[in-house]
Amino acid sequence: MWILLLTPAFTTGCADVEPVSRLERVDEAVTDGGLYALTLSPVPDPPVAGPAALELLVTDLDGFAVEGAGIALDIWMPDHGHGVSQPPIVSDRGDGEYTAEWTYSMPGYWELTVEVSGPEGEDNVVVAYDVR
Amino acid sequence: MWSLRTTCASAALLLALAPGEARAGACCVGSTAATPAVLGECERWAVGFGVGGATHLARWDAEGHITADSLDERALTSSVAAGWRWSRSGQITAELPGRLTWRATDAMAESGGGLGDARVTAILDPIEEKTTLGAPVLRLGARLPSGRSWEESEAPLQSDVTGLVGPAATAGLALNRTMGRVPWSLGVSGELPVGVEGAPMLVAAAGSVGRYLGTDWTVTASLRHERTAAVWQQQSYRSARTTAGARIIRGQRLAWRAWAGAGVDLPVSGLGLESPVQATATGGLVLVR
Repeated sequence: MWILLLTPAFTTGCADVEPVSRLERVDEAVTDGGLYALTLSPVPDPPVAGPAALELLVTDLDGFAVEGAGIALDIWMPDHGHGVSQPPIVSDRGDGEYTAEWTYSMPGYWELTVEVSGPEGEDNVVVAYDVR
Repeated sequence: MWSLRTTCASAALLLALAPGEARAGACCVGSTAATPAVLGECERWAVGFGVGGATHLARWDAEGHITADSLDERALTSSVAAGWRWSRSGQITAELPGRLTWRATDAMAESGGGLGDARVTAILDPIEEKTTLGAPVLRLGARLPSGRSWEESEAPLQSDVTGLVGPAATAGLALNRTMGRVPWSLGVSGELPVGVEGAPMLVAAAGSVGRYLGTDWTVTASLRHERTAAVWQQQSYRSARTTAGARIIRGQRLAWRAWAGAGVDLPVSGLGLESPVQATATGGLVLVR
């Protein structure tokens, strides 16, 4: 019977849960707390299953590069409930430019939570890609 | 004689219920073959094995459109299973699957495999199938995380994944009936992960219809639609897929059943969402007494 009771969750979502709202791809984003501005360039573009990278330019809201920031990515496929096997490797290329590398295990909708730790504090933003 | 054969044949019909029921749960990662050691009313126990193959064809995207993608995948699956009927209206089955996966993209290829997630299911069929409205069959069980989940995977393309994270409760309710030489079944089933954040729950509806050919053969056709829902960071996410299949089953009463079949996720836009499209072939043998 619990199957029947759960059925509404498949059509309207639970009471305190927003129904599915997929993020559109963006090439520029401001972190949720408004501390940093990001320019994002996926490699390859469009993303495909297999080795992938995300090139980031991190600035403050005045456009000055944020150097030496800590960058971390959490990569998640929310429809299927799993992430990637190996955590992204992030390198600092200087002048506010960073590169994160990992492997998409399959095509589909993936969300990337980009966490930035810099002189203004810690902040993050979620971006999404349709991996083909 | 006819009545006895008919009631015993219900197990064969259940066996044919749905391609896709074999999946390890609410994800295309680590799906496995099933050997349903389901017993008819006159049977006491069963042991058997099954093998299968699957190939990736395309996928349904986030809008439900069929689209080609960058992944190539082949999988071989197997399972061993046993069933025991402890009373006229109750039986229990256990199954241990295995999986070997090859995955490739333009840039890389890898393979992996191992034991999958074990399943234990109690089946209650309290009413004889010859009743007018059909016989309800209730399934209650669990999926146990004996396979390798994505969290334990060491392969970038996750070809070594053979199961899901954490256990799950499973349940199903089907209505079976045989009308002359035509058995049919309609049912719903579901799987609810226990204590795993972000893991999708699954519900499925399936129907099958068959035809007895002589005394030993049965052919069936089936259709299954499944949906998953996951909650992640206060947002709900969904996927869906629709699968059709056919099986031919041969058996001797109180001796053995063997089957071969094929299934395919229907490559029609709108019948799926954020899911792979696969074709599968299965076969197996179950000894019954």
